[in-house]
Amino acid sequence: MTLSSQTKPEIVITGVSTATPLALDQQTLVTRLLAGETCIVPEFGEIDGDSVRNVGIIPDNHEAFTIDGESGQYSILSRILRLVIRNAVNDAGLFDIYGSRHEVPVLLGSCYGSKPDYYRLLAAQNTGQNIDRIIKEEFYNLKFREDAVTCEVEKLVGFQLAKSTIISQCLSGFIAIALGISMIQTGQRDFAIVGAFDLFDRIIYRVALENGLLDKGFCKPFDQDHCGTNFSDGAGAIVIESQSHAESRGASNYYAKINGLHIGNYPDVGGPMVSGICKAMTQALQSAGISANQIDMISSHGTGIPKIDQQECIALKKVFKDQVCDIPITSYVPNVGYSFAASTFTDLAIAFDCMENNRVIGVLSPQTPLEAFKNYNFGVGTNQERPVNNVMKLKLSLNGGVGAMILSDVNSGVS
Amino acid sequence: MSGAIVISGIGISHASIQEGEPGWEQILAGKLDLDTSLLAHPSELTEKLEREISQQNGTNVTVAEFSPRSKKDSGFRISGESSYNVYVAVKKALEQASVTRSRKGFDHKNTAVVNCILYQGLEREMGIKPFKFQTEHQSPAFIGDIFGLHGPHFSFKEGESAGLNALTTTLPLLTSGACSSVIISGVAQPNVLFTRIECLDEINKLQCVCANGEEPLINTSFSESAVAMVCELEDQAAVRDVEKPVKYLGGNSYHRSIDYSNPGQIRNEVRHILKSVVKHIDRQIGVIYIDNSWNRFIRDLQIEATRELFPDIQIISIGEKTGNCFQVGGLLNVISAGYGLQTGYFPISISTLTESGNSILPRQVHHPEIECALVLSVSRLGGYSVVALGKPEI
Repeated sequence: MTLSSQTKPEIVITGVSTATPLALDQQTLVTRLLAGETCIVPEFGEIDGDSVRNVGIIPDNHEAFTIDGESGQYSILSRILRLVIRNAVNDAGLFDIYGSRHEVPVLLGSCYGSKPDYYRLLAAQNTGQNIDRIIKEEFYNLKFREDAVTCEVEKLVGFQLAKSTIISQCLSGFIAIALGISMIQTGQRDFAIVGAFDLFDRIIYRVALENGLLDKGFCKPFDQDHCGTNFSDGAGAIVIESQSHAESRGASNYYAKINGLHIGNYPDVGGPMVSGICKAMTQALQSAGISANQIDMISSHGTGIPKIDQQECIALKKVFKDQVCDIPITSYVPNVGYSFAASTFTDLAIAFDCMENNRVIGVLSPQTPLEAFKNYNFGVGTNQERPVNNVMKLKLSLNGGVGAMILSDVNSGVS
Repeated sequence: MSGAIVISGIGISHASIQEGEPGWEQILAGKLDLDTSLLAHPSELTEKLEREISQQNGTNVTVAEFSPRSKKDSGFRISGESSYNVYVAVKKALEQASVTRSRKGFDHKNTAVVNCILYQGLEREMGIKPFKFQTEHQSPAFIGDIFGLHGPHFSFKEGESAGLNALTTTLPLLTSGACSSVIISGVAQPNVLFTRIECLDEINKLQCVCANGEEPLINTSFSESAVAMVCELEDQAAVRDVEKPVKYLGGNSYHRSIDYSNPGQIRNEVRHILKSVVKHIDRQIGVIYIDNSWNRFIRDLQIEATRELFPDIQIISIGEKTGNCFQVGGLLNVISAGYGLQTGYFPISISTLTESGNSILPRQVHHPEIECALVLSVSRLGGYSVVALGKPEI
């Protein structure tokens, strides 16, 4: 699937909001990154008896969740989504324009959706506990938490929501964006709110542990010692609309133009193939009408999972050739944690700052790059002052999905 | 390029349909009659369910046996019955779209696979392998893998309206040119855990609503079903000479929180979404399908609001014949409506149902003059969806 702004109405991003454990807005996020600080909780304690460090959990009692005096009434997921959607809509200046009956597509992605805690239920069953009671008191609430969120968002924003939860593992956020773009380009909607959310929980922890995806210390993408990732809570949303619509309503923020987008299914055992990643990047570049040497920054998938790291690096070399030694290839997972589908929006928020201020914010890893890729410009350590007009965002999922998106400065003249 | 979208192939895998038999004709011919539709007073339901669950392994009307019939058919990464059911349905849909006989004009590589999910993909029973619940989410990836479809694969989750929601939200990918084809699929699998949770909770809600002394009846005839349909641009289907593909004329989906104590709000929303679609349709509406909902409260409100808006139009529900297939029910309605538009034969109107709601033998009514059908779905969590379909030859 390929979408382009070349022949269709140009799509611009006019609002953004993200939440990570220690940065519940994008300004805090960028400030902490510029200072070389992490945005995930450095100590979490234990999960299922294991001591796990450096996992990101958004604190349930954070003051940012005190919205309209309603703190504590809703689940953490409900409040984090309320926060990011309200902030994104505010940021885009949409509150003042539309009435309460306006139907706004809100497309939310999630890696797996909400998950019943099977371990809790299995343990209860094995010990002869009353499962019906647990189901009614605990599981039922879990199952419907996303739907409860929708209702709360509806009350908060005052819009009539055209809402869907889209599930395609880590690529869910990308697909939400693609569906939103299609709705706009076909004239069905003027704008869309697209986002994603994912919470770190015991199920994810167990999956990651059993499949060798988890680094209990600081994760180290592209490093010789990479052995897994740091998972994190997260949510994010952006407002996308046609450029003509944004101009006609006098939008004040133009973060970037989505110039090209490609999403494909290129399955391989355990992850996408190199050829699939190459194809996604090539198609995205073609749809954007630019060449690889016009990319100023690559926002990589970069989770620190060895096989994925290596395939990504090989693919980057095939597409960008020797430019991989010059173009900064960033992964902020050690800084903000990997929040699955939601991390797409964290990375976009960071990219917007880089484009606006012509800088590449330094990352924490790799300190000792993989030998085969040691000449790559991984942008470690210091913030680099350099023009950033075109950014490629790359996203992979373990079930074979690959996404590549080209962001361009709205005023860059690339179209 | 006309930009019109058609449904060029459909496939059903249903508990009552044997391998090799055609799909929706069964509904009309009565072969899909479950014959055991159970209606129960809430006070009896818990005991009834407990008994049926223990006797029938969680599916209280139809115990479907969807185990792969041959190893040849299961030669891919089947990780659960859900995936296999969807696989069977997609295979049938692609065959009907003439894709497997001739791939001319069908771009496998840019075909999206979309699955609709009721809630979380709960599997049959407790004690299953950990993480098997993910299989329903993974089905689109498996399907993409086995059929070589390289477009995106993803799932929609929006309660009972997820099927129609997937249609209305995804089909713009065709008109925008992002994808050459979209396969919409879904599978419904009742199970012990689901039945317990849902019914008990539903009773509570209905008791609250019907505190005025009315005695609500709950249709517990759940059944298993998988559905798939191939959607593509009309011009592309024409290249392969697909026979009389049904036209997708438009649709809308949104979410609005349901207040069970305010039936008027639900009726308003039903009217609103129907109007939002109809105003873009230039054909006369001939028939309206409503949910196969087991929640008779929501279903009755759909009927009331629809009749108020379209007093002379026939309303159809095939739920008594197919069983409640949850989010797949909306797609079954699309299929039934499509069949009616193609052949002129529609199933019996629910307006002729007996008071008890069961014991109706399926019959056909012939209305070849009908040019447009609406399919309505309301999730009891607040998802509203409407799809408009058009007669092929116009």
